[in-house]
Amino acid sequence: MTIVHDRAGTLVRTAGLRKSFRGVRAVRDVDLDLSGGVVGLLGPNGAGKTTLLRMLATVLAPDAGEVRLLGRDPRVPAERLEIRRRLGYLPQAPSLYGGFTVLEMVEYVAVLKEQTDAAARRRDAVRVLESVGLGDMQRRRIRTLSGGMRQRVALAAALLGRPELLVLDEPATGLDPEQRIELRSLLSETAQRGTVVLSTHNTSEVAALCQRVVVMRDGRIHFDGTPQGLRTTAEGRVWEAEERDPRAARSWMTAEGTYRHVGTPPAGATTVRPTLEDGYLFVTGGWR
Amino acid sequence: MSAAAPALPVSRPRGLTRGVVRAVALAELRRILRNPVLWAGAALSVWMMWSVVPDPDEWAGASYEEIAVSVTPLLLVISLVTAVSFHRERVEVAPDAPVREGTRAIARLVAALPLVGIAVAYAGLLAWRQRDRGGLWLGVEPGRTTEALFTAGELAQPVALAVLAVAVGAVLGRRLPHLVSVVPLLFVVWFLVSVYWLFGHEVVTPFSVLQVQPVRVHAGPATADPLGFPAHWLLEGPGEFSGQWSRVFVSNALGWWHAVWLLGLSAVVGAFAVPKGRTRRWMLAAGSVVAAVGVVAQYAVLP
Amino acid sequence: MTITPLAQAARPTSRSIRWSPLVGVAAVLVIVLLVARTAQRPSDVVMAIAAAALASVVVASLHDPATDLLAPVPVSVMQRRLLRLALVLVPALLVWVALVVVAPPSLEATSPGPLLAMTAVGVAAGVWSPARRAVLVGASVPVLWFALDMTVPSDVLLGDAAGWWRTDPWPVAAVALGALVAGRRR
Repeated sequence: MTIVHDRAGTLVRTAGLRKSFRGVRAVRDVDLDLSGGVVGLLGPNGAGKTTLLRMLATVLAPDAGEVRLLGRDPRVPAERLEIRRRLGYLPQAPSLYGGFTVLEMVEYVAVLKEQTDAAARRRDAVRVLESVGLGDMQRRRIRTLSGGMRQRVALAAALLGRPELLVLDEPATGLDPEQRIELRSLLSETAQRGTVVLSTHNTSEVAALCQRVVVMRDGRIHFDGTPQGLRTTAEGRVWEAEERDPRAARSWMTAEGTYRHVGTPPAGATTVRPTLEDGYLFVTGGWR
Repeated sequence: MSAAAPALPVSRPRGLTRGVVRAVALAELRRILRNPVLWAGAALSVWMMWSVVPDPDEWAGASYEEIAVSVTPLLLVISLVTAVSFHRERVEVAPDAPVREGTRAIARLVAALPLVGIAVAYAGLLAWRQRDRGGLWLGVEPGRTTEALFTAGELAQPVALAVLAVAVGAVLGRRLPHLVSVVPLLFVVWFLVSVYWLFGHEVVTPFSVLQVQPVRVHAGPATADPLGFPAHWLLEGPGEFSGQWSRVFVSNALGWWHAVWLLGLSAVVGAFAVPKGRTRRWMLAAGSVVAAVGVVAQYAVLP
Repeated sequence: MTITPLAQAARPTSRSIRWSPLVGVAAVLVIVLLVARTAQRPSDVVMAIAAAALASVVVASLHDPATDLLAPVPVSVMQRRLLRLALVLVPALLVWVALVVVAPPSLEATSPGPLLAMTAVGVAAGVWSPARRAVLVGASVPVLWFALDMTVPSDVLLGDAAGWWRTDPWPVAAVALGALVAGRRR
């Protein structure tokens, strides 16, 4: 397992981060050091991904532990303000004003991001809309857009001002394959000048995009390393057979009609090269 | 060649529809009855009813009128919990399910029926309370001071009002995008209704929502000789708020016809809570006719 | 520093506000006051209802559907709330003036103090409530307080206190503003 420890260039650092909701511990003792690139956050539903991202977006205050974002402490109001000027955030279910046009909505967010020069603001809004493929939809009302288009409007709003830290909660939701590929290149470009932290359920997205992957389960980090590292955790633990093996931790039927198993292979089983998904299932299954 | 598939039934069997409505209604009802706001409003109404104690210093009929208003908090919360129920329809849950919006709306209306039941219980309690107090003072001049009880028509009013409260809550909950906007609107509707003396004029009262009897009808100028009026009239002399002799009119028939007007109005208002189509058209048409009949009949009853 | 963004955000923010509740409430109140004027009936209770209802409408306007999206912008949630408040409070005060003009001449309660007191209390309650239900709680407070005022007998201490928003609106507003300032970081 490889963990990046470039402290000099660290953009996001958390130590002992905790958050509970009415006694339910959503995030427990999370330590992270992120310094540039695209970081994928994987985990089953209820793993604490959204809660962690909300804390990284300065939207939610932790119950305990420390957070430093872009070298600043979000608990200090003046520093939080400075972080927010350099931060972009896409919430899990972004709501927009149905009566606004696409351009009006993005420009409105730009105003609230303190872009006070009208001409520059317009240029930036048009730029981000073009970057998400909505350049020709600027005059469309939000209420007339499809779910995927709305998602892209919210993504455009997050990209305003070229943020150094981009926090995205399931950004690919509702996007078609072509848009997903465009999103990847967009995020890779953004990662050139900062950090992109995104949560997803799609391991192929992580494989294609992320230099680093963090797997959460039950509010804790169970893996922190490269996608290759996640894949190798399941090395020698994946095998395929004609019949379902009840001793396997996880098994499912493949398109070829054989059963793929993750767990401790029985004697004589022929193991296969694990995929990132196998690694993820192995880690979230708690067999490491 | 494949065998022809059997034709699917175009409509759902009636028994199945009933079952679906019952199941959805029960689920909604459980949520409605769990809402503490409902019971808080009901308790407040009962407390207001209990607080009405005739005072020798009050004006004639004060407690008789005041006790009718005590239903207001109950009506407000009935509207509110119904609005919450119908607001759920705005969230697209299982839009592909065979139970369509119209059936769901009917089920929600059915789920609200026990709220009318609470109003029935309230009316029963009101009747008992009045009898327990030996009637409420409807003291009028000259020389006809009486302890009066609500007529059955007047007691029907809280029940009809509860039906209207369900309809109002259903429409606001279904049509307003944010539940938070419903609060001030319902508050204005129901508390303005409680300022009953604004709507007590003989011309306005058939259209009023909360009709509080007695209705005061012009009998003669301040200079008129009260002994010249028919002996069976209850009279109110010129005073602080009136410069004339008025006939104080209490009528069981007026109460019943007002309830008819309220039910018609409820159907018209409630029509906008169900989707466009036959049901809505039917509710609008039937409601308009019933409401019109109620108003015309009230004018006929009024002296 | 954030004055310019707020000034520039005023117009789009006003477009994001739902005005139908204010229009609806104002229309109903005007009609009722016209009836009161025609019938020469006292209308102080109607004005008390108007104060509470308008306050509830103003607080309800703090509801922002795009809250999640806007949560991490540099213009804080409190500044955005105050902007919304200012945008709705001005028309609400104009409605109040119109109601005073329409009301029967016998009207005594013409001061907007109760409206401002109830608004401040509603906003303060919203600020100190859990975020998910903040606006709903805040908008309900004027309604509940009015209901309490109308039902609790005035000869007990609670009844006396329930009437403070009408009888002593400015101290009530001051206390609510204090609570608001104390909760400005929430």
